[in-house]
This record gives sequence, C-alpha cells and structure tokens, in this order.
Amino acid sequence: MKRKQKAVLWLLVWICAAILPAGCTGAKKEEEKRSIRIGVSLYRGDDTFINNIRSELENCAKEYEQENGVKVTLDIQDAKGSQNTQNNQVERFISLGCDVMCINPVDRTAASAMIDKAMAAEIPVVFFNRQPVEEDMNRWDQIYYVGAVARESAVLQGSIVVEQYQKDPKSLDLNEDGVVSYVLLEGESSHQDSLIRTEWSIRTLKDGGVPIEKITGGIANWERSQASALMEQWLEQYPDTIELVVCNNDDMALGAIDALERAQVQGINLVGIDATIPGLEAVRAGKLLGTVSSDKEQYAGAIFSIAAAKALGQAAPGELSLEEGKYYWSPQKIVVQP
Amino acid sequence: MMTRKEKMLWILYGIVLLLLFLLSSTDLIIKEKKTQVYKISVIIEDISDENYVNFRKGMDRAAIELHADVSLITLYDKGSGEQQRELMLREQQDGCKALIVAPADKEQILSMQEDKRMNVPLVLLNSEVGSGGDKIVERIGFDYYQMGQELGKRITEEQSPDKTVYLFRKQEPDSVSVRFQEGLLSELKPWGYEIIIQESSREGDLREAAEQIAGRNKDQAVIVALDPASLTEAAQTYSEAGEALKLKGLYGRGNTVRLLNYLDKGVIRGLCITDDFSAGYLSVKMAVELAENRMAEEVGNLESRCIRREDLRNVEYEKMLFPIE
Amino acid sequence: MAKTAKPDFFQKTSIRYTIFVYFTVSALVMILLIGVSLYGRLSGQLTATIREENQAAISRINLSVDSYLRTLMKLSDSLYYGVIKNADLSEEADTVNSEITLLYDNNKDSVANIALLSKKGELLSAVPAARLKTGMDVTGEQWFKDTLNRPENLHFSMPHVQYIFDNSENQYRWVISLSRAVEITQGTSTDQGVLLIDIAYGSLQQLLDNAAMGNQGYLYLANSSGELIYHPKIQLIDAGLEEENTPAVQNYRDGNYQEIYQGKQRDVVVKSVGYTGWKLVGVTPRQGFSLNNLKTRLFMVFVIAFFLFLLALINSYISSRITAPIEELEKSVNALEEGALDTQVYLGGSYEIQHLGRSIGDMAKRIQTLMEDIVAEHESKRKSEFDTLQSQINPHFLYNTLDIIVWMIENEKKQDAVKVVTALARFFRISLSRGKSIIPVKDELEHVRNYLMIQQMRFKNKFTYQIQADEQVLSLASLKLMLQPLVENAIYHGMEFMDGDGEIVVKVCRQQESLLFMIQDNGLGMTKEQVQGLLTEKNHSSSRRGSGIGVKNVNERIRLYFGEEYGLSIQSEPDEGTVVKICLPAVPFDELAEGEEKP
Repeated sequence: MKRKQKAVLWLLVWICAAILPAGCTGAKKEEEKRSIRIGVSLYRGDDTFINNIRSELENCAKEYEQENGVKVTLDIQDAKGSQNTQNNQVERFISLGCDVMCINPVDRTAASAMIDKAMAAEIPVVFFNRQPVEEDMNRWDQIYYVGAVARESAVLQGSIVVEQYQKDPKSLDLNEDGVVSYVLLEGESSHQDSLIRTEWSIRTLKDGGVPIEKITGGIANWERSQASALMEQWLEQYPDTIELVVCNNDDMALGAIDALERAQVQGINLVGIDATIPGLEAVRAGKLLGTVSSDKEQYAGAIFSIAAAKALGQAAPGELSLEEGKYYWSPQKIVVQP
Repeated sequence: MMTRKEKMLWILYGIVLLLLFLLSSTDLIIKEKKTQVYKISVIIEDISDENYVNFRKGMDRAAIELHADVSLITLYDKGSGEQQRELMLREQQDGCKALIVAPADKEQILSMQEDKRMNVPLVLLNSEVGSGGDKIVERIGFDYYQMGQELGKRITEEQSPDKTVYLFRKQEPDSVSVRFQEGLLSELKPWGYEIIIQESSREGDLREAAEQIAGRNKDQAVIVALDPASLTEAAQTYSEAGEALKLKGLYGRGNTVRLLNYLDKGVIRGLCITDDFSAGYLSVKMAVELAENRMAEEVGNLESRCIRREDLRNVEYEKMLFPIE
Repeated sequence: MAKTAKPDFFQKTSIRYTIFVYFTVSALVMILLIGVSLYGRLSGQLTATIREENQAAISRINLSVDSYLRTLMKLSDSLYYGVIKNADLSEEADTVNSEITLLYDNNKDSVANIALLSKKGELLSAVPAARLKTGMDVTGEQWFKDTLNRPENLHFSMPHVQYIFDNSENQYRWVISLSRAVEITQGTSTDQGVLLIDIAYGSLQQLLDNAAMGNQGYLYLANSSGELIYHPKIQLIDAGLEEENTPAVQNYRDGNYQEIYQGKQRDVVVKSVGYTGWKLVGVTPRQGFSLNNLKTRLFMVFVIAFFLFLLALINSYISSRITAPIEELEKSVNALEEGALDTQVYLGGSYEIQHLGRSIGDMAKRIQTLMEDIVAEHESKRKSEFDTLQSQINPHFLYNTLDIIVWMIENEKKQDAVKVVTALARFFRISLSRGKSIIPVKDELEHVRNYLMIQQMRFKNKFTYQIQADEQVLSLASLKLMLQPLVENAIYHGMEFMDGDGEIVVKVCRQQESLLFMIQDNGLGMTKEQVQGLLTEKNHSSSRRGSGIGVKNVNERIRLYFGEEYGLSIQSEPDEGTVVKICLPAVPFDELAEGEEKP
C-alpha cells in the first residue's frame, strides 16, 4: 500500500511540474506580444482631412514601433463612400485577425452592423471623425470615439469672422452697404457635422454682431471640385455681391478659391474648418481668411494610442481623459494669417 | 471449415476494405487541400506610399486571389538601407514566408544576401542586383534605362537641340533615377543639348529653381524630373503660377493621379508611366510561388511607356493608369 | 490437349466453390449494374439540376441587372419628361436643379453625376455641383455626336474614367455613361441637348460581385462585341495576367453551352440583358458539380467492395451449408465405390439430400442383394442346365442296346439278353437318380460298370475292363454321370482300333481330403491338340455315338458343384494310352445329399 501511495504521489508531483511552466509561459506570452495589427477603414480616401489624419496615423505607428519595439501592422483601406465596401472591409479585418479596428464610418446610422461583427469577434473599435449614434456607442464598452466637437469648431470659425469684423469691418463689407453678404458651402446632408457647423457658425456671427445676409447656399459634400463648380455658378449668378464664403470644411473653401482664381476675382473672404495642409498653406498665402485646427497630431495620436492599448489588451490610456470612458474630443484652435 | 489459405484471403480483403475506407471517407491519407495563407511583406524604399498606390492595388488584388496576407511597410527614414535590413530581419522573425523589397541601398542588399540569417525568398523590385548564391532571389521591375531612352527620343522630337535641359533630382538619387538618367542622357547627348543638373537637398529647393528657370527663359528651358517627387514639386509650382510661367516642356516619370491630372492640364508635357498594378500583382504572385515551391516563373521587365496628354483617353492605357478596384 | 485440360479443371472444383463463385460473381455483377446505373442517373440528374440552378441563378441575376438598368433608364425618363422637357431653363434653372437634386438623392448609390448639356456643349445644370474641365469641348466627343444623331435611343457607353468634369486632384471615377438627346427650352427657343447620367461603375460592381453563382462559378457581363463590361477579374484580364473566353461569347446566343477553355471543362450559361444588347455570362467549372472527385470515386469503389465483401461472406456460409451434406454423401459414395457395400450412407441436409442418401443406401443394398441373387441364379441356371442335360437319355445308346437285345432274343441268347436288359435298366435308373446330381461313389461305379458291361457285349469283347475302388470311398459323394462320359470317350476313341487287347481300368481312391478317380485305357491316345479340343468343345462332334455330355461338361459340372479347385485332367500319349484323372473333395455322400435337398 505504501509503495502504491508513493507512486501516485510522485505522479502527481510530476504532473504539476509539467503544467506549471506551461501556465507560466501562457501568462508570459500575453505580456510579450510582439506585434499588433490595426485595421483602419476611411470613409473616403480623397477627403483631404481624412488623408491628413491617415498620414499622422502612419507616423504615430512608426514612432510607436521605434519606441516600444512592438511591430505595428497598419492596414488602411478606403471605403470610397460605400457602406457596403466598408462592411466588407470590416469582415476582412476580422478574418485577418486584427487586434483592433479604427473605423471612419461612411454612414453613421449604419454603424450597428459593424459593431455587431466587432462584438462577435471581440475586437475593440475606435470610431473617428464621423460619430455613430449614442445608442450604438453604448452597446459595448470597447467602443470609442475620437473627434472634434462640431459646435466648438463652428463657434471658433464664427469667431474668426467676428474678430476680423471687429478689427476692420470694411475688409468684410466690401461694398459697404452695411451688410456682409455671404454664401454657404455645406457638407453632406446626412452628416451631423454639416448641420451643426452651419448652424453654430452663423449663430456665432449673429451673436458676434456681424450683420450678415445669406445670398445662397449649396451642398458640396465636403468636396473641393463640387465647391468649385458651385462657386463658379454663384459668381456668374451674383456678380459682385458675394463678400464672404462660409465653408463647412477646408476642401470646399479651397474649391471656392479655385473658382475665384479662375474668375480672377479678388477680395472675397473665406473661412473653413479642418486646417488641412493645403488649407494651412492657403491661410499662409492669404487666400483663406482662417480655419479651425484640431491638432492633427493629437487627433491621430489619440486614435492610435487607444487602438494600441486595446490591441495589447490594456485599458485605454488614462491621460486622454475620455468622456464617459469612450469619447475623446480633440482640442481646437483658430488659425489665421499671422 | 475454411482452409487456412481461404482465411488469409478473407483477412487480406478486409484490410484492403479498411484502406479504401480510410482513403475515401476520412482525411487521414488523402488530405483535402487546405489553402495556406502566406504572409508576405513588402518593404519599400520610401517613407510614404504615394508612388505605390497602384502597386498596392495590384498587391491587394493578388492577396485576395492567391490567399496571401500582404502588408506594405514604409521606412522611417528615406533611403536608409540599414533600416531596410532591420525591417527585413524583423519581418522574417515575425513569420513572413517571403519578402518583396524595393532596395534603398544597393550595397545593403548585396550584404543582405550574404547574411546567413536571411532565409526567406526575396523578390527584388527594380533592382539590378543579381541572385546571391544559394539564396532564392527573384527580380521584377521595369527597364528604367529604356524608359529614359524613350523619353530622350521624345524630347529630341519635340524640343530643338538649342534648348537647355535641366535635370531635377534629389541630392542622393536612388538607383532607379540613376538608370533613368543614364538612358535619357544616352539619347540627348548626341544631339548636343545643354544639360544642367539641378539637385535638391531640402523641400522647396526645386520649387525655387523651377520658378527661377521659368522666370529666366521659359521658352528655352526644358525640365526633366528624374523622380516623381521632383516632378510633382515642379508641376505644382507651375500649375499654381498659372500661364505666366508655363514651360514649353516639363517631362518626368511617375504614376500618381496627381501627375496624370497635371498631364491632362498641360502642365506636364510628357510623362513616363509604369504598369504598377501588374508589378504589384506579379510580385506577390512570385513571392507566393517562391514561398510554396521555392521556384517561380521568370517575369522579366514589365511595361513602361511615355505618354502624352492624348494618351490619357486611350482605352489601351485607361485601366493601367486608373486601375479598377 | 487443351480440351481435356478444361474439363479437368471443372471436374476438380467442388460444388461449394462453384456455388460460391457463381453467387459472388452474380452479386458483383448486380452491384456493378446497380452502382453504374445509379451513378449514371445521379450524375446525370446532378448535372441537370445544377445546370437548371445555374440557369435559374443567371435568370435571377439577369432580372436584377435588368431592373438596375431599368431604374436608371426610368431615372433618365423622369428627368427628361418630368423635369426638363417643359421647363424653361433660362428662368427656372434653380427649380430644375433642385428637382434634379431630388432625383439624384434618391439614386445616390448608383449615380455619380447627372448633367444637362446644351447642343453647343455648355453645362446647363449639374448635380452634384460640377464644372466642365477648362478647355473641355464635349461637342467633339463621339458619344455626344452619337447621342444627338439617334435621339430616339438611350445610349449606354462602355465603362470608362470620367473625364469631362473637374475632379479633385487624387481622384478618378469609373462610370458608365447613359446619355440621351433632349429638347431644351430656353426662353423662346427650343433646341437639342444631351442629358448625361454617369452611372457609378462601383454600384454595378457591387450588384454583380454579390450575385453568387454557386458551385464555384462566376459571372461576367460583356457587350455584343464581346468586350468586357464587368468581370470579377477585369483588371487582371486587361493587364494580360488572366484570360477569358470572350471571342467565343460573341457568337453565343442565349442558352446553355459546354466549352473547354484552358484545358478545363466548363458549363456556360448566356442570357441577354434587355435593351442594351449586353450578355450576362455565367461560367461554372465542371469539377464544381461533378462527382468526379478522386475521393468520391474511391468511396464508390469502397462501397462496392464492402457490399461485395458482405455478400461474399454470406455466400460462403450459404454454400457451405448447402454443400456440406453433399460432401458427406459424396464421402459415403466414395466408400461404396471402393467396394464396401455395407457402409452406412450419410443421411442429412435438405430433404433432397436425405432422399438421395436413402435412395443410395437402398440401392446399395439392392445391388448387394441382386448381386448375390445373380450369382445364385447363375449357379442354379447352370445347374438346371446341367440337370436338363443330365436328364437326357441318349437315344443312340438306347436303340443300339435295344438292337443288341433284339438280336440276342432272336438268337436265343436269353441269358445274355436278360443281363443286358437288367444292366440297361440299372444304368438308366442311376442316370436319372431321381434328378439328383450328387450320388454316392458306389452308385456311380455301378453306373459305369453297367455301361461297360453293355458296351463290352456290344463290341464283342473288344476290350476288357476293371473297376477298382477302396471300400471306404464307396460312401463318399460323387457327381452323377461323371465317369461314364469319360469311359465312353475311352471306348470310342481308344478302343476302336484295338482287337481284344483294349483295357480300361477305373480306379477310385482317397488321398487325404481328396477323392481321386482314374480312367485309364491303352488306346490310341490323343495329341495335345486333341486333348485341348476335348476340354473346350461343347459337344464332341467327332463321334455321334457319344452320350452327348462332353468332357468339358463333366469338368465344368465338377467345378460348379465342388469348386474351382477340383476337376479333371487328361494325360495322353498317342499310341500308348490315355489317363483321365478326376479330383473331388472327399465328402461323405450324406452331407452333400442334405445340402441338395434345399434348393
């Protein structure tokens, strides 16, 4: 009996000895994750702002790689304005084994389908720039959003004009009829930002005491070429009437500038939002009165750091102070010609 | 009842039956072909993938068709052969089955092939470096020398020999640009064009140079940009400046939609393009074949052309210039 | 040689093996037939079903494509008839634009741009906002001219990159242009113009990408000249990296075709899309829907082999059960053949076998009995033959002797006549012996003595005779009519030419268990041939005076009654004499007489 017991005891000891290291290595493996894979889907690759964010993301990834020695595979896809394409891209990310996804949704109302897939695969998602509805955001605690507060952008945009008016009313009221006649270039009709930006920008102007009068407005879908075409039409339709062009984003402002240059019209003021690289150049060149910048480095940095943390299975970085643990609002500031 | 011989026959039959069963209904002997997904990494010589947009499209297409997991990796510092080498090793460690590399530094690549740590098959893009001993190395790319020659011919047709030809390039040109230049000059020199080399060491250099040249004698100057970045810079300068500075001849090479638009607008006179989509597709195809069989079909040099504005509408070039995704 | 070999083989195989082989072969044939016919039927049905499926799928997709195109055509119609036709563009441009915008918004997914162009190439309205490229002259464009030349039609172009509009720097769009000639009213003048709808190629791509063909098939869209409009690998085909059988498609009308392309068999379904003349082509590779997978084939072989195995086992068992009794029976028969007629024949197995067994057993018994009967009959037949023979009274001897008696009576030799008559009477009395064949030696000697006496008288004492017998042998058994024929022979062949010197001696003695008779004469003797002749001839034909019972007969009778080992032998020397010896068993007459009573 004694011998048998001894044998059993030894057997148990050996088994434990075999299991323990396996368990340890298991735990260890988690810590030493050597590479992370991030899937990024952009709503439209030729949107300048989105493009700028994209370059910044790539830079962040490289820096991160160099600092932490963790390989970052950044898989960036362009949905070309089709939600269907984006859905397919999301599926592909999941099948390729992405650790986290950064999605710039084409249709913000259709985010739930993507969230379903991500939840099923247990892959955290960072939405950015186009905000899904609150109900969708609340479905899971591994969903985040990085963006700029639309209202703030609009108010800042408005304040550019207000300040300028206060400085020198004549620069805005070109024909000195006591009214600043403006045209409005809006983004996509379904985008939450277009509505908010339009409303608050104008309101800020009004509240700032600028006597504005709307000539006309049009939807240019954030696109430079469309804005250019519209502007050209308006220049023909309303010659010498337009004094200010309020644009929901820089691309459209640049399109308007293209039209002005073609028509060789000078003096009209334009304001945009985004502070894209060409936008900043336009401000420097004096073509654009001003724009609103959300620090793209910080913007992309926020997206990336949340994504990287999630990919490694850690909590979102505390220094970002996420609202409700989900939302990161990028700080913004005015950019005008110095 | 049964003789021994009979029993043996029955047992033998039973064994054959079992074998057939295993063969036909289980996966033990004949395995269903599992599509293996190969991890392939592409390491380019630049910090951004601007010039690789079409290449990337071809790459992605090949990834879907051939079941490969392809990722494009850019360098931190432009043209750093050292970094490329590190990345190559890192990718191999990470489980790559093959690498596609656009070499940043000829020397580094040579030494890489001698390096014993490199085990995975390599596909070199636009490289002249030959295969190194027992390492598996294949090449794919374009004949830039010939491209340069073609452009040279075009210029001799369109521009009189009394004009000055300015060559825009980076301070340390990559081997591709060098070959391009050699081809170009081989055609231009016999005609007696004055050749001036304009290098840029930092951004904005070429812009200034472009403005100056145009300002000085825009009718007599011909600019040939030896790499896409330089061309873009020059074209941008001229397109923004408008008619005032429009040159009679701005030539160069590159594939981006931006450059094609400049060509369309007339800012660029002649553009040398390459079938990047096919390059991307075929390089991944080669890499997968190398990873699978250690052998791949030779592809040789792919198509490259010099096109004018009219050619943009040519159905022949349409899909090459603007790949459908 | 071959012919004999074949039957040999068949002869050697047992019933069991034959049944087994036949059962198994027929089972195999059955299985094969069933398998082949099922497979053929299934395969054919599967192929037919999948073909139908493919056609149904193509029809469905055709409907989608049709509906897609129709929607766009209706859009064009709505734009024209609803918006443009009756509007005055010089005044209502904004209304027109907002109406177009409405229609555009509803079709945003499939439409990239809507543009209204005047005959001179001016852009009158565009949604979304767009402008023509600087320096763009649409009137020189072929499609523009074609559209104006055929105002009754809607024109669909091949897919192309949008080029007439200003676009952003990094973007290009693939579109299919749908254009029609329209009437534009500007103020008081009405003129022709072109309504252009640029269909987003991506929407067509999405529609067809998601249309699954199933069974590893794919589909593509080509125009009537075979140029590709949509193909899953359109980019690769254009780059020359892949190929498609488009030249053949040009000639295909709607329907199902089979073709071999790049070494592979495929099924091709073609259906035309209405109005445009485009062809929707669905391709399914053969291996996608045939049962010709290696594993499937092996599985079929396995199934056949397995069932064959089972059936063979069953057959083996059955054939054993059936043939085992036959084998047992065969063993019994073998034993019978060897001669052991007493063997117990196997009774078992099915009732036929049992019946056979019983029958064989009965037959064996009957054979045995019959055999014994035959032997007995044969014997008795022979005996009766001899008996008959024996019962015959030789007529020659009778009337010769009667002649003598008459002569004697006529010649007053009354005493001699009495002697002869008495001797004759005694002679015939013993000849008959009440039908018995075995008589005591005493009687046989009496018989021959009487004969000799008569013959002596007849032949006027040509010879003398002696009869010598031991006292003890007189009561032993002897065959009737044994000595007399021999003596007859001696007289007629030996004594004929002797003049009073003839001597016939009859001796009987016992030698242990044998009884010996000896008839000796000193007559002419016989040659060896003659001796042989005596023993073989039935009736001694050289002399008619005999009793008719030949030497052979005597020998045979002796052997029949007493056994093969007994009989007579003749020794003769020509001119010297003859000795005939008879050997019989020394059996007392009483014993044999009893045996004779029981026939």
